[in-house]
Amino acid sequence: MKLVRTFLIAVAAILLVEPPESQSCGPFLPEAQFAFRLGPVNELPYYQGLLGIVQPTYYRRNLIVAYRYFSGVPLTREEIAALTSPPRPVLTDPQKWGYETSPSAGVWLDARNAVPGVQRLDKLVAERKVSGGDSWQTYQDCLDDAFTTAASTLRERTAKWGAGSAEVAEWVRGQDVVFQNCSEGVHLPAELKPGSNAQLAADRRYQIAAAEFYAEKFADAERDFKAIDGDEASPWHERAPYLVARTLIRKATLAGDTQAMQAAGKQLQAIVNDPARKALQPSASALLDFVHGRLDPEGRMAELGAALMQPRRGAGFDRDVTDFTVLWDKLEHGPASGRSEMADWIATYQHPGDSSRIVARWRQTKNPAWLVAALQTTGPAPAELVAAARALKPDHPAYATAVDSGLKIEASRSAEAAREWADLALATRQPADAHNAFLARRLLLARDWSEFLRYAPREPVATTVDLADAPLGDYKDQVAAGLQFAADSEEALNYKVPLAHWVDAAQNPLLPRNLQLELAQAGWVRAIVLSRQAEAIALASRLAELKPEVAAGIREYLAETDPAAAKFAAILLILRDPGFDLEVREGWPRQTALGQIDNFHDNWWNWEPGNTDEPKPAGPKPETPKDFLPPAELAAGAKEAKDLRAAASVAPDYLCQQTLDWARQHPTDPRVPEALHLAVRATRFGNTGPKTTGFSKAAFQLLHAKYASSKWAAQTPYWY
Amino acid sequence: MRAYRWPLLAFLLCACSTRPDPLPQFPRLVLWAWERPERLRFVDPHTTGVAFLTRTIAWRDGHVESRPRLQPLEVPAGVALMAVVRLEGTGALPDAQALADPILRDAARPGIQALQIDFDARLSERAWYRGLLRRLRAGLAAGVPLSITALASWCDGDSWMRGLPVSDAVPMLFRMGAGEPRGVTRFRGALCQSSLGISTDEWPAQAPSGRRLFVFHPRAWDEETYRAVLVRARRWQ
Repeated sequence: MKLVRTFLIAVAAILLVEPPESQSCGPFLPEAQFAFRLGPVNELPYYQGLLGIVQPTYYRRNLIVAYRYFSGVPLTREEIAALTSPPRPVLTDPQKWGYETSPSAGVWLDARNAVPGVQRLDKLVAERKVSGGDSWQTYQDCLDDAFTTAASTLRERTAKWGAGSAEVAEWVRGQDVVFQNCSEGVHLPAELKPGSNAQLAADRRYQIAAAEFYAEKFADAERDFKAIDGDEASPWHERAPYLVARTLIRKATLAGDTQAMQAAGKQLQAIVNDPARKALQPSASALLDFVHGRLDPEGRMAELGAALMQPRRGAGFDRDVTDFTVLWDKLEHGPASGRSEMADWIATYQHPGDSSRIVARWRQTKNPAWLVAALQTTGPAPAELVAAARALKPDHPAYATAVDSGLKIEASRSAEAAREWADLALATRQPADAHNAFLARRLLLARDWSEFLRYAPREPVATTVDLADAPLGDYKDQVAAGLQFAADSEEALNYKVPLAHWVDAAQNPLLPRNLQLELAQAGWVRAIVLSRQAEAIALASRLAELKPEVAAGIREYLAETDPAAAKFAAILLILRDPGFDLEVREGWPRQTALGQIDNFHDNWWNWEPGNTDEPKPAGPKPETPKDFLPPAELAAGAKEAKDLRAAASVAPDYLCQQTLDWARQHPTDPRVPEALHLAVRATRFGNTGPKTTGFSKAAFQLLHAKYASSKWAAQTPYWY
Repeated sequence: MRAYRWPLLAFLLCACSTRPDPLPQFPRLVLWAWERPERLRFVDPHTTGVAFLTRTIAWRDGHVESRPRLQPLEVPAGVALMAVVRLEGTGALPDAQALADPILRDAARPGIQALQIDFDARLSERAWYRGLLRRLRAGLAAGVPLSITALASWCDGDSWMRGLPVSDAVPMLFRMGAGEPRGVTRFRGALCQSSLGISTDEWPAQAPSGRRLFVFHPRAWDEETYRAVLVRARRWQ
């Protein structure tokens, strides 16, 4: 009875309580980038003309800059400053008023809360729901300037009327009502009694018009701003016509009212043409550009394309760059061709079409921008293109981009000529991304093993976190790791290079020591899996030299004279250290120490393909060199890779199988319980496959059946 | 024994029974509508709900920006609506209570039937996130479920979500980082048993079936894509 009861309670507990779960993994692993994808992560040198390789995938903002330099129109110091200017200084503690009050609104709150006798306000939200339809959309109704203008006006009025005056209190009361409209409703300040202070009355009329504007009472606001325009005594008289235009624009953008936008254009044009309105003209002119962009985006883009090619000393370059790219994004099919040379070039560079048209454009203009565009096309390239690329001086902004594309073309014609050209390019001083690109071109032309090793290492130029490029500054440990393998050498080493060359590479001074270590470590595991004892011993010895932390375990392995026993010693060593891998990898190596479990499942290896039936956003398989080893050796390397995949594609499965085989044949070996425990651990923390659970269970059962009293069985409560 | 039999049987039956749907107001397909103009008048409210980004709260170097939705959203009458709030940031974590206030206001708007938080919390941010979720749960109306998006790894054996005050966690099987589990056919996390997050441009070959699908589209939704998703979604429902 008691037994049955205990059993039932146990079953219930099992059903309700989940077993302990394994550690986490996550997506926040930085990956090394050897080229930029959307633009250089450190922009200043690029803006100064050190362009490196200008990728067609760059943001258009970066392509505008490249086009300027390619065309021989470098950015002026003022333009560079405009593009790199830091954000506007924060006017107040950004968190002082909470997360929903902008810093500018905080400036206003600071000012009005300092007025004696005024009830304190702690929050001001500037966003308002778009009225009509489903109100899930908001917009910033009260812009930052409204708050800073209110704060400065309050300071002026306080200086004039006194901080504790009734006029100031009334003025603040009215302004509070104005800003109530920023987030909701219709709130209008009260009219003042006849005989009130004349300036206060003028301010109040302006406050009422502003409140109508924020409350979306546009007809009323337009009428009242026009009235203020007609009142020459009002301190707001000068500004009123501009506010009429803003009212029309707000009405047009919220309601899609083209007529209102056209009316705003006329209003602004009148201000720009009026010599008496000089103070308003810069603002009116900028707003007029906005109106043109809305009414005729193609035409405005053409204007901007021409304006962006004019070097300027004043401000506005960054705004024009932004307008140009934003308008482009809004045009469903991009800008019409023929209206802006810059837009034509960017469109062509991003999506090259007919190569003959591009070559003709280059012949016609002799602009290096069109040369690099023509070199990017896939059609047959005339010899004159390569000759023109060769003629560029190393300090020309288009040099790196032209040489990179030119090398590709030249390599298809004459490998020898391309090698010579690549060597010349590598001897020039270029940004790191360009140097990496030249190394990649040269690697493809490698004639022997030494050349392969010489051109394989690359310098990371950026990191990728969560699909975005980022500067290396935050990743000092990774940067300290030094040069790394890129995708091309990774692919060649893992799938083409036979083991004998891994032994050589692990001690070849053409490679930095960190890469020798990677090769020694992965090469040794390959040799173990392939049962290649001579190479395994050589690589193990080298590994012990390069990584003293594993020397003790390696000595145990080297001490075994029987090949089977040596292999089991190696398996045990691999089980103990989850950092062992049988391939070298592109970019930075595993970040967790060799003997420790990585919390992101980066433990041992898994060669099984990923699980998606649709392409992920990844580049094509890297091109690899073909002539750096004799064909027979390349074939041997490919066969080894195939054998490795067949024998050990999923590390936990392979390690379990090897452990089980040894345990069954050598049940009295005192290392077996530990090995079985570690094998189960590998199925928990390693990258698993569809058969892993079967292996995990088999190792678990053997451990508990034969070695139940061992401490290793006690440490292994589950299989996985 | 007799005295224990019926209570234990009832206990076992309860334990074995199917989990209640954590989002009973929502159909089996939910479209994520992100911060872009989304005109979803073509959606069938009987088969499809909409989870729309209503606010993005971002922080960096101690500065927090709470930005409401600035893009239009059009949905047909009667569609089940979930407000989604995206959190992202680096550096010092903001005050959770101050963060919770605008989120709760968003969730309290008429027509909102559930709240979802989208935050890829790092290891060091989990305790803070747990606290925020507790505040949100306490502030939400009783009948409004609280959902979160989850990295697949959180659902595949990470225990940190245990005890979170949420009704549902949606494992996201797209834009997965290195080390994220792929090819998962069963999630172990108790909160991860009802939903699945996928993307139209990264449709997984293999995934647990019989779940509510949250579907992301990297561009604005159009009717053709929606129809295609309806067809493909039937594979798992």
